[in-house]
Amino acid sequence: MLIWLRIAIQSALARRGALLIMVLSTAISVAILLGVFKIRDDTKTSFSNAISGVDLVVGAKGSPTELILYSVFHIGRASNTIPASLEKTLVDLRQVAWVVPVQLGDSYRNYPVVGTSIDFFKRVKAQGRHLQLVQGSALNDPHLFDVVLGHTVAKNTQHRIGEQIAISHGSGSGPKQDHSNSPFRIIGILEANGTPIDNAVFISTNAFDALHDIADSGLQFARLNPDSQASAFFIGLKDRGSVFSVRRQIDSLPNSLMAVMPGVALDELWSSMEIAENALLLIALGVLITTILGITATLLVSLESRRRELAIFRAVGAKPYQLLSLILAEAFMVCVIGILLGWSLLQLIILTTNDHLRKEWGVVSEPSLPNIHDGLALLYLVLVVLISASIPAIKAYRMALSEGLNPPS
Amino acid sequence: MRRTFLHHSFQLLLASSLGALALPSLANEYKEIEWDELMPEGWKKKVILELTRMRRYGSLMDGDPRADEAYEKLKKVWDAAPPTKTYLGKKIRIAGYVVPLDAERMQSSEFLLVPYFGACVHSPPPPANQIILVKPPKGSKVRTMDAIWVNGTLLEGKTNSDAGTSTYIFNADKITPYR
Repeated sequence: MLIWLRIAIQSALARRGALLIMVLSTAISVAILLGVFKIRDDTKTSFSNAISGVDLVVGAKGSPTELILYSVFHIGRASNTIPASLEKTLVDLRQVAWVVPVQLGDSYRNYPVVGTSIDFFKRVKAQGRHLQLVQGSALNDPHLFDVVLGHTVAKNTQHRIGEQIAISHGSGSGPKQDHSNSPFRIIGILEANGTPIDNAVFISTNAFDALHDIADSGLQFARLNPDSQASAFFIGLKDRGSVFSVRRQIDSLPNSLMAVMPGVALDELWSSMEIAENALLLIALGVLITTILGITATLLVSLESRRRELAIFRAVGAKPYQLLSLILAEAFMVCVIGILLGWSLLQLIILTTNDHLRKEWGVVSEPSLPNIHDGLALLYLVLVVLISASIPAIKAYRMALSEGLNPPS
Repeated sequence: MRRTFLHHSFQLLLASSLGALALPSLANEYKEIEWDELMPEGWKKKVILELTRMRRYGSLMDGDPRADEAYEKLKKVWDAAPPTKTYLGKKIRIAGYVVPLDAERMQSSEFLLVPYFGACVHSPPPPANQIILVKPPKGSKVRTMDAIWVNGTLLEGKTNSDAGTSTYIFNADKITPYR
């Protein structure tokens, strides 16, 4: 038995160039296959973890999906802003229990800055729970330049309670006009909840306005000015069943507003993503088939060049089943090493790009072990490769000795 | 004659195709009901009367102030639609369409059940007594405009005298896809 292992290894080493290419092509195919599965899963979970407890999101008339993506997920840009003074009008509507303003557009080191009120921390829920602070306290109104950090922001920037930071006007990193003259102070850090809130920096609406006033005129910060703008309002109702009625009232206000039910808008986004999801699955299937065909083709070719080798094995007394297992073992090893290499490659890619993915696309992706889904696909890959490898193996098994020793030139 | 006609169109408008498709109720503890039965008889008659009166606006053009006025009036009546006491606290089974309330999908969260498809997109929405706030059992997953059967206990929702809106709350025991 041992001698056969040695022979197999020696034989493989003699053909290392071809085998290396086989392993590499398997690795790349596996990386793509698992990558496609991962993208599919991660986008889904990233979008399932959104806010709850908000019954309506109000914004300027436009695309409902866009409004939700921007105000809830902080992706894309607002088509239009609405006057912050509308808060009063909305609070006065019957059935409205609370209104929380959301101002967006500024960033701190690429993390979106959300201008909001203290009610955001009291009202908005994530994973069905109210927002929890790990440290410090939530925003409170008298202190204008207080900052509360989302969990990921605090983790990645290593900021601590009491530290002063400068928030930049506009989005993006790099040497922008940063507001070093408006020292924001960190007063709280939120608990991780797996929602876009983790990646946000919270300041009060007044501070948000002040930030802009300073940027615009260099003046000392002003009070909440009447023409300040909000990106959206989150609304909670006294009775959730009256959502249609309230939505209609808001839609018919003269300010050309739009009230969107977040759950419905998200499902709309969902169904449009289903097409992309299916496309991704098709691509994955294509990759899987290509991988299998590639490995089989290489096996067939390599066997053609191993005719003489196999014939010599037979001549020195190798049993047919020994040849069969020799070939199958090699195909199996190529497959397994390729899968391990491909998986490592994918984890490496995820590790290097997940920061970018999260900031630019709002998709949270972490390195992970293959799940059942991946495992099944990989098992399938190995099985089909073994089956297709057995075709040339059986051919070798049945090959006449003389034919192998005297190959047609 | 006219009254029967109106009654029929009214039923068509509100009770939706679901009610018509409903299977004969099976012998179990949940009484299968139709959306129509969630409207108090008295209120139904009043609305029919109202609608009859409105029929003379049938020839009005869009944007006519009288038509707008009638529409406003109808909206008020819709929002103030009272619940019927008949099924409160009873175990019932009803079919309808889902309108989700939260953007979160990891856990099951409350949603609205409405009698006809597209109620969340098109206006006017159904009257208040044709909207049910469902509190689903753990682990149930629904999406916008899924057609489902819900088994559970019907309760009276929050009544807000100021707005006059009242809805049903439905503590669901079981949710199954509508077939």
